[in-house]
Amino acid sequence: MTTEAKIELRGAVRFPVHLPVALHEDGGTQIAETENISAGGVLINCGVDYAVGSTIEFSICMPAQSLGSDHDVQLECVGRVVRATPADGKVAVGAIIDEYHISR
Amino acid sequence: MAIRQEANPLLHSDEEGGLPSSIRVIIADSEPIFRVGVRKILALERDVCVVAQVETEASAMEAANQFEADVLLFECGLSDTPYPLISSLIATAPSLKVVLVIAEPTEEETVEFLRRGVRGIVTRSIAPEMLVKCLRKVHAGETWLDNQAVNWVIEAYRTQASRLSSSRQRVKLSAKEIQIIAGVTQGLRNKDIAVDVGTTEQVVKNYLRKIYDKLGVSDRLELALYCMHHRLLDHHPGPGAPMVETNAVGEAAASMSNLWNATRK
Repeated sequence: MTTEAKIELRGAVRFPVHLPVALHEDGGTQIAETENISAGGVLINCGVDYAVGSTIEFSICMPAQSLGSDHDVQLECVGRVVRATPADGKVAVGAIIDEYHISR
Repeated sequence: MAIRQEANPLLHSDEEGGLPSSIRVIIADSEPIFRVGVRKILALERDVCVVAQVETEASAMEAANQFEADVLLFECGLSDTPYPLISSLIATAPSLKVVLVIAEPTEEETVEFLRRGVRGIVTRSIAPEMLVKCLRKVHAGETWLDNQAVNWVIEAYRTQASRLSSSRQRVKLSAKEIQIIAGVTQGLRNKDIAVDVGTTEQVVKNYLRKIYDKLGVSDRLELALYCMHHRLLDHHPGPGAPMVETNAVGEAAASMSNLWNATRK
């Protein structure tokens, strides 16, 4: 017997962490905040709309005290926008993380 | 045959001249009889059309690049390494929805393929009308699985949820493991971590594999996120430092707090 199932299937665990994120654009940097992050993607609340399919570069600041470090750690990412939904005067931008680098 | 492109992929060849199709399908299968059969089944549907047929994994990848198809019906057995192939296909054509044809899908295969982005799994014995329904549902953004596969996936999520909800005290990590994790989360390379903890790069790799297994994470980023979420490294001074608790994080916390406040202005 075959049936259809509507299940949210993600490749990685989503962590509901709110962290500052710097979105790098040609014209400068937009500061925003993450809603949640997984190893495969991120949801960012920001003030700028992005076209679905566009490539974005961003840096997420990971706090020192959570990482046993004496300094904040930057997570440098290149991603692709998979959805952009207006919400409460901002835009919830969902992006897949294609590449990342944890930098000191 | 590399890729067999259909004569008129945009329109059905019905007598009325055809209607624009909304679901463009690539069939990738090693058996011509299966490809022909599926094509004939789909030819009866006004909202589905086959844009290409291929019989190797290389040509499937080529077709995924070449055609703006909506759904790829892919025989799992076409590839000796189907997991990375699926990841590559989806990375190459993110809007392409992959439906796998598997002889006898196992629990492990089902969960792993879905994690990698497959949208549906069917067997060769699927009824024609169900295959058509599957393609429509997958095209509409839904996931298509049989009852057993649904149970497997739910079980996998239950396991994942219980793993997430378990406290960090339940995961026993040695001092060296904690030291290595701290190195990873600070952006150090394995080579640098090895120097800090006084061992070799290969030993660090071995430790990392064990750590990934213990914590149920898959890579360095997920490890870092896990540490943040579970506050695994609170009060840890970092790699190379003696394994004693310290209060030296206060200054760093204040720094982060300032940055955090700045972003909220």
